[in-house]
This record gives sequence, structure tokens and C-alpha cells, in this order.
Amino acid sequence: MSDTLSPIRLHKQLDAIWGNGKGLERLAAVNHTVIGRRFMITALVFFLIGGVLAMLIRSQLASAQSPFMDADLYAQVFTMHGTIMMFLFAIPMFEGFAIYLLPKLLGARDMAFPRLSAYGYWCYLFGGSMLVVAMLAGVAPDGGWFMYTPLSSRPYSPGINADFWLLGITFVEISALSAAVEIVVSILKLRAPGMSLERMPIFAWYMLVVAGMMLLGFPPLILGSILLELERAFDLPFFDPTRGGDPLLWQHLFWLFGHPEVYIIFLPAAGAVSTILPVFAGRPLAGYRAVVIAVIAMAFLSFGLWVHHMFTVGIPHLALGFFSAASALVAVPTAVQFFAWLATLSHGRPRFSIPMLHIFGFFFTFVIGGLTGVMLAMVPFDQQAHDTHFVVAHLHYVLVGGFLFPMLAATYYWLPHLTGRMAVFPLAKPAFWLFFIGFNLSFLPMHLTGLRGMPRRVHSVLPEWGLETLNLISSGAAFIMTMGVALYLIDFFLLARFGRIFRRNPWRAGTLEWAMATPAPSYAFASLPAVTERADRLDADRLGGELAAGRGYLGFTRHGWMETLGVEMLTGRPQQLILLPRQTYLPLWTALATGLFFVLMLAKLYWFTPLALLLVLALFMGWARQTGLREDKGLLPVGRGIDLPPHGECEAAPSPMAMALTLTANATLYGSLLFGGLFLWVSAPGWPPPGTPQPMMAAVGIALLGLVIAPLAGAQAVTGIESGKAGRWLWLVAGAQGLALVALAMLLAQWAPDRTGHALAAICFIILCYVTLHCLMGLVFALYGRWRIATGHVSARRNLDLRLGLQWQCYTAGAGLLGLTFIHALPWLASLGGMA
Amino acid sequence: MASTLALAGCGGPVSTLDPAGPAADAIARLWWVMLIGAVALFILMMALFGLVMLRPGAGSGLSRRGWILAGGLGMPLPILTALLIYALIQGERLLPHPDGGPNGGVVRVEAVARQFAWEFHYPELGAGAAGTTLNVLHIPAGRAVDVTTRSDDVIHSFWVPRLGGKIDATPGHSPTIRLRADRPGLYAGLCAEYCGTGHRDMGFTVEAHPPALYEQRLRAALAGEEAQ
Amino acid sequence: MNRPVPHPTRHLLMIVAGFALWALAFVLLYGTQATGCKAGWHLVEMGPANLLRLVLALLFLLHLGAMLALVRYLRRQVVPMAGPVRFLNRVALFSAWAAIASTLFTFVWLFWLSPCQ
Repeated sequence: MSDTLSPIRLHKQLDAIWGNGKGLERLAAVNHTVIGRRFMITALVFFLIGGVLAMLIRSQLASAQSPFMDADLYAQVFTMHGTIMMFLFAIPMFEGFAIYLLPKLLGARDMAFPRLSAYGYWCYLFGGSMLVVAMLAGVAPDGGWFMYTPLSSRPYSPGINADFWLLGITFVEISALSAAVEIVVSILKLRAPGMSLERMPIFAWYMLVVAGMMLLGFPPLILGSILLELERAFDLPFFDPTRGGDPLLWQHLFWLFGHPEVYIIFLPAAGAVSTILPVFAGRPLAGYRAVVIAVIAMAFLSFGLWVHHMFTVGIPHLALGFFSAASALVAVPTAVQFFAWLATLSHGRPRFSIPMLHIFGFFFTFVIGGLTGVMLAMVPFDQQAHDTHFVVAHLHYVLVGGFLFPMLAATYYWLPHLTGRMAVFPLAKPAFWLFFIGFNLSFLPMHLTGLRGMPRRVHSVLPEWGLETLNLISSGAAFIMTMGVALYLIDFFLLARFGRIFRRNPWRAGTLEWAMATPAPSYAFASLPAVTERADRLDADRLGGELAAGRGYLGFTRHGWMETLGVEMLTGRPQQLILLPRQTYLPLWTALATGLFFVLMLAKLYWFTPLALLLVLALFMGWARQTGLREDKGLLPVGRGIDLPPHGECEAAPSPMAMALTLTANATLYGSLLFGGLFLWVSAPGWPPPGTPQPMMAAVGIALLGLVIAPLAGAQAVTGIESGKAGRWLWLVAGAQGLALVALAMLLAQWAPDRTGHALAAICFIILCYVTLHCLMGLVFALYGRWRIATGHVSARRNLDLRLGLQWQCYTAGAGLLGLTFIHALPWLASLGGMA
Repeated sequence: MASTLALAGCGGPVSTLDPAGPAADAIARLWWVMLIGAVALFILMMALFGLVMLRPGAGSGLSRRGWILAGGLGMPLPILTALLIYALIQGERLLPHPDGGPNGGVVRVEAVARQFAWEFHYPELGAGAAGTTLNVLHIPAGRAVDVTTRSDDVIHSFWVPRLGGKIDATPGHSPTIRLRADRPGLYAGLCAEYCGTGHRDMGFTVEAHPPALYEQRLRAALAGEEAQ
Repeated sequence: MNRPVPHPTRHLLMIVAGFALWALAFVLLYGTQATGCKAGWHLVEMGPANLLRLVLALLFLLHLGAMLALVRYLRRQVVPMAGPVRFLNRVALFSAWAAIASTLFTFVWLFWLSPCQ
């Protein structure tokens, strides 16, 4: 713990703790550098698979004579192309990018929950692989990447294809949600001391907003997938119009996710541009605050325009007006960002470089995509262009322009960081021009193809449409684009293999990720910096040397602990010493057990699925065994004369915030379910149903009693630790939840017979299931708390385990009260249905 | 070069840019207006990017704040407002208002979609003329026609590009779109929403008859279908 | 080195408060429009308008009022001259103004467009 450690010795000591094993031990890695890299490489592989599918599509459509796939195979190909590019490439790619980069930009040694990153990665890998296996077996999903019901319902898609989509994507989305929780907590709590919110690099603001959007955007999709899988597997008629369901419910749930998702994909890429462009402008980003506001505005507006995918379903013009206006309005925060970039360049000394060349590609392409986006926001025009190749062209301009080009810029900017090497062969330029020209030649004419009447998803071109020449141009140019991709891959390989090794900070950037050795060491920073100005104006070269010499915070090791600092979230004042978990195989095992659940669902072995869930639960308990201290440590020195408590003894520890965020996402899912019920009441045919059960008041009363007692007793448990009464209060929590469970079981039994007859009963049944599941977890949390007390992990200061449980009990009580009210209110509203 | 020009042609049996009725015509006009605006804005953006990259300092006369306010708020807000009002006025005009259109009342027909064919019903035709036509919709030229869609299996979408926008046929719903063919003739229709393996081949034809001959020809067509 | 900041979460949440009100307005207006059409409120004549439009207008004005109150609150908040709290306060204030402009731009059409067709 002395200041006299040489940089080499410090490196060796840190690497002994943080370094990842060799051989099979690599599977135990939880380090953000490794996990981020794995995410990105896996996403690249999926991109190439999706790209091959795109080439199949363009070959099929090259001329009216060229079709070689029948309609069924073609349907699998276009569905998988969309699904892979959206869910298995774009989202995981930026997640990996953020996981890799954020701690390094923020001056931390890792993300807040490294095991969760690893678990998310395995879920992504296994879920994505399920879909690829389905494709190789010829049973890939074939209903289009937005899976509209009833085409994807059991009667019209009897095969296993749609189940692969619903289960595989839900499996993958676990990684999106876990990444979102972890990104928010890491940005708000794990920064370098002194990095107050207004000093954060702009990329962190972008990712903070994006992660927030993911927490609210993904739950509707997950809910929709669960409901559709329930309909397919157990015949609960949420989307069946003959039994009070509505296919439009799926469309609302899907696009309530689907449109924000476009911005979820765009914003990280825009964040990369906002990081890279100022470096080459030689001037800090103009309008930092304006950009933050624009990103917030964009995030919200993007949740208010999902119905522009539904302008042709017959929704009244007034409602369309809201969505049309919001869709147009989202161009304003986009313009603010564009002009912030232009302002930065105009007041700087811009220099051209390979990243800047790709930013030019981004400007060119994304402006076109944005302009056609405003066109599609106009209701009458959309009613013509909707579901044609105009939309196909538009969405590729937006996604290739708004994601691929910026990510290529980011790749050329940060590949030296990843590999420690700079490019020596001038392949990037020809690759760019092939890709850029191929892309524009392929997709610009496609606007016209669409306006001249070519619908989406037709499995070949009909000669009588007169669109063969346009399609041939698009197909031919697509192969130029493919050559560009191939050249990129060669260039990446050459750079990584033969690139020139550089010392530090090749672009003269002012952000913290360059203040470390490259490729990045496992522990990222040998010691943590103190930040005294905006963290994109730092002297990375000078800082790098100081930190490597251990002159920052935590420039030492103790007890083999993985340590990083937690700060007060607004001011960046150091607040706690965060002890991170060591390398472990548990995330892998847990993801495998989670995969077992999904495979059992796929195989329709429903009775065995609870066993898989129990296994998952047991493994998560195993995570807890590796966490936490068995004694109060008090204040510990962290260097530079400061002493901090370990996070387990800190009021503002990361985990309660993570729990609050998880519950927020959970509440969004639940809220979507309740709104789904109201939506069916308003919109679906066949309401009201002939008769619905009257909930047993006695059971409702008992359930409410249990639900209310649990959080009250849970709160007593937290305050009662000191006096040793916590254990007894936790037994009361468990008892209360048990009581609620008995009452809920009675209510479930009452609703169960009607659940397949009408959507009203199905919704009420599922709400009861949701509440039951939460009570069950409430019981688990109570027993978990009891177990942690018994193993000595709980003290008056180390009360995290009990606080997390209390959060859960409070949420469960709220959700239960709401649910029990709802199953009374919805049948009552339905009985009013005939009033008009 | 000549082939490029030929490509730029906008005609075609299913081209929205070759309108044959007021709805399609209005939307095509909206498209041309937006295209001109979009090209102008695109050129402006590229010119600004070129300026700041190639002539360093040329844009520094305007403060950074000025750039963001003028370009981020000052430019897009008026353009978007004007465009939105234009499109919403047009949208209101295209709605199937109960007061009907010019040239007398509105003709009502029903388009029932199934995998993979269209069946057209004519509820307004007098007694004794029940029946449907398969994959051919008969309408009078010059009169507003309200097409109400239905589906009993999956979602389809009724689309006659030269006459106007599309309207989905969603099971459990029956939305209406108003179309009009200015002149008698044949207009190709398509299914626009992916509905399964027969999606491509779910085309149909709209046959617009001179108004005076409409009822007679429709009855003949119905009788013909009956005979099959 | 820094004074402890009271309620850090509240300062942070304020930056989304304006747009959260916009989102709430969106949900309520869209939901009310759909419900009103089902219940036939648009057929109940109320002077120059109908019941549905009046309810929508009321909701619209309520949300505008709430946003103006938010702006007032943020302007009166006592914040230091520099640092994160001031930054968040400014972001919150300008976001609230942006949300007001967005509310006008998004929903003003409820005074004009066909509500149920």
C-alpha cells in the first residue's frame, strides 16, 4: 500500500487479480473488456449471417427469371434477415461497445455488475444460436420480423417456427435489460472522483438516456412475446378476434417497442459521432447542454410515434394527427445534434481521417433517411408508401446511415484501442467507397421501386409490374456493397495482425480511455484519476503516465479484492469503495439453466419448465454466496488521503438502484398488460363476454392482507437488525406472502376454467398469475434474507440484502393492489360496454 | 444516360406516381412537393458539411450557439409545421365523410380478404342481386366509392396504387377507405400486408365502368360468377 | 470539497419531468379519444364542439398548465452558480420549455381533426 510501487510491479499485482484465465478458464471471465469484445465479435458474426441472407434476397429479386427460393423459404430468409440485423446485430453491437467503453471513459475499472454482463452475453449467444439452429434446420420464423398476429398465431403458423422467434428473442432480450440496468447504474455511480454529471463525456449522457429507453421500451415487446407464446401454447386468446382478443394489440405492443428501438439503435451511434467528431475538429463539442436536451427530447418523442407504423389500420384521423406530428417533431432534436456537429467543425480546424470519412458517409446517408422519414410521417403519403419498397429503402437509409456508418467510424477510431495497433495498409478508403456507392446505388432507386408499386415481402418480381430494371440495379449494387464489407473484414484483420504498434493516444483525444495502455489491461486503470474539468478535455498522455505509476486513487492491491470507486451521482464526490466479484462460471451455468427453460418451452415439455426455473433460482442464490462481507469494515483508505466505506456498508450502494431500475422495467411490463386489457375493452370485437366470474371477496381480502403486511414487516426487519429481531420479522414477511399465495391460488382456480373462452378472463387470469409469481418471489426474498442473516452477511450497516427484499415486497404490494382492483374493474367496464 | 431517363419514368400499372383518381393524385402532389423540399434540404446540409470541412473558419462568423439555434430550431420548425398542416388538410379531405362526394352519393362495397384471394360484396345493389365477384372489383367511374375491408383469417391490405392509399383488412375490424377512379378502365390492385406464402399472388383488378352502364355490367358480372 | 447535495435523485429526475408530462398527456389524450369514440361522446353536441372535443381540450390545457407550473418551479429553484445542480436545473428548465413546445405541436390538432373517423 506504499507509494513506492513501480508501475511494472503494480501492473503485475493488479493483473494477478483482474486477469482472465487461459484455456477453458476464459469461460469464467466477467471483465468488461472481455465481455464487451465478445459481444461485438458475436454481433459481427451475426451481421455476416444477416448479410448473406440479404444477398439471397437481392439475388431472388434481381429479375423476374432469377427466383430460386420458393415463397416459404423466402419468407424464412427475409424474416431472419430482419430479426438478425435488429436483435442479434444492432442492439448487441452497441451494448458490447458500451460495455467495453463506458468504464474506460468514466474512469472506472469495470461495470457495476460484471457477472450480469457475462450472464447477458451468454443469454444473447444462446438465444441467438437457437434462431440460427432453427434456420439451419429449415424451421426458422417466417412471419416477418414484426410477427403480426394472426399470421403468427397457432392456426396460421402451426409449426415450431414462430415459437423459435418468440422464445429466442425473449431469451436474447434478457441481455438487453440486464445491460440497460447495469449501464444506468455504472454511469450514475461508477465514475472517477470529481467527474460530476456536467463533466461526463457526452457519450455517457447518450448511453444513460439509451439505457433508460431500453428499460421502458423492451418490456412491451417482452410482454407481447409472452402473451403470444401463451396464446400459442395454452390457447389464451389475447389476439384472437373470435374470442375477444385483437390482432391490433400485438401491433401496438410491438411498435411501442419497435419505434423507440430505432432511436435506441441510433443514439449510441450518434453518441460515438459526438465523441469522435470533436477530436478531428480539434475543438470540444459545441452545445454540450443543447445536445443533452436534444437527446432527452428525442428519447421521449420516440415513444410517441409508434402508430406511424399503423396509419393504414383504420385509426381515426385525430389520433393519427398526434402520431404524425410527433413523428415530424422528432426531426428537430435530430437537427439540433447535426448543427451542434456542424458548429463544432465550423469553429475548429477539421482534419480528414478514416473515421471522418465514415462520418461523412453517416451525414450523407442519414440525412436522406431522415428526410424520407419526415415524408413517411405524413399520413396520406404513408398510406401510399406503407409496406412498399419505399419503406424498405427508408429504413435501410436510417439504419445503415444512422448505425452502420457511425459504427464504422467508431471501429476505425477505437480499433487501435482494442488492438493496440494502427492501420498500415490503405484499404479503408476503397472499402468505404465500395460500401458507400454500393449502398446508395442499391437503395436510392428502391424508393422509386416502392413508389411504383412494389410491395414488401413479395417472393419475386412480377413482370407485369414493370420493375425489373430497378430491381436489377438494386441487386447488382448490393454486390458492390458486399465487396466493400469483404474489404473491411480484410482491413480489420490486417490491422489487428500487422498494424503498427503505437505508444499512446494516437488521435490526440481528451477522453480517459486513452489514458491507459493499449490494448487495455484487464484492470483498465492502474489507479483511478481525479477529474477537475469536463472529461473530454483531459491531457490523456500526461494522465496515462501518472495513473500507470499508481499516483491516482486505489493505486495498490489488498486482500485480492477487485476494487473500484463509487461516487455520489451528481457531484462525483467519492462515496464508497466498490468491491467487485471475481471471475466465476456461475453466469455461464445460470445462462445454460435459463436456456434449458426456453428449450423445454420449445419442446412443449411445459411440466418440466418449473424445474428449470428452480435451477435458475438456485444458481442465482449461488451468486449471492460469492458476494458481501461477513464483518463491518468501517472506513478503508483508497489513496490520496481519503477513506471510504465498502459499498456493502454504504447507504447509496449500487444494488438498490439496480433493483429500482429492474422494478421500473417490470412495472412497464405490468402497465402494458393492464393497458392491454383496457385496449381490448375499447377496441376488440366480441366484448362484453357472456359472463365472468365474480371474484371471491374473502379470497381477495385475505390476499390484500398478506400483500400489505409483507412490506410493513419487511421494513421492521431492516430497522430491527440492530436489536436482533430482523429474523423474526422476516418470518412474518414469509408468512404474509404465504397467506397471500393461498388466497391467490383460490382466485386462480376460480378464473382458470374461463381463461381460454374470452380475452377478458385470459387477461384477469394472467394478472393473477403475475401477482402470484411476485408473491412467490417475495417469499423467496424473505427466506433469502433469513439465510443471509444466518450466514453472518447482515449487520445494521450491511443491510443491503434486506433492503433489496423490502423493495420487492413494496412493489409486490403495489402491483397486487392494482391487479386485484383491475380484475374487478375490467369486468365492470366491460358490462358498461354496450352503453354507446 | 437514356436508360437512366427511361428508368426515371414514373408510369406503370401499379405506380402511385401515375394517379388515376383524386386521392392518388393528391398524394402524388404531396410527394412531389416533399421531394423538391427534401432535395433542397439535402443539398443545403451537404453544402454546409462541405463548407465547414473544406473551408475551415468560413462558418465561424456565426457563433456556435447561433448555428444550433438557427439550424436546429429555426430551420426545421417552420418547414415541419407547414408540411404537417398541408398533410393534415389533405388527410381530412381524403376521409370517407358521411356527406359524400361530388356527383351524388357514395357507392359502398365490401372487400373481404382471405388467403389468398379477394371477394367483393355489393350490399347496396337492389334485391335479388346478392353475390360476390372474385378478384375483380366493379365500381362506377367518377363517383366516390367507399371500400370497407374485412378478413376472416390473417391481416391483408387492400391497395390500388393508382387510385389511392391502402387500408388493412384486419380480422375483427372493418375500416373504410374512399377511392374514386376518374375514368373507366382497369386498375391493378395488390395485397400490401404480408399474409403468407401466397402474398405476391393476391393481386386483383378494379374495373371502373361508365356510371350509366355500371349497374347493368355489375349484374352481368355477378350472374357470370354465379354461373361458374 | 463539495457540499452534500439534498435529494440528488430529485434533481436528476427533474430533467425528464417536462417530457414525462408530455408523455402522460399523450397517453391520456389518445386513450380518451379512443374511449370517447367507443362511448359516442363525439355525438353529444356541446355548442360549436362536441363532448369528446371538450374533454380532450380540457386535458390538453391541464397538461399545459402543469408544465407551466413546472417551469415556474424550476425558475424559482435556488441553485448554486456552477456545478452539477445548476447544470441539471438548466437542462430541466429548457427541457420543460421544449416539452411545452412539443405539447403544442403534437396535440393542438385536437381542436380541428375528425375525432372518430
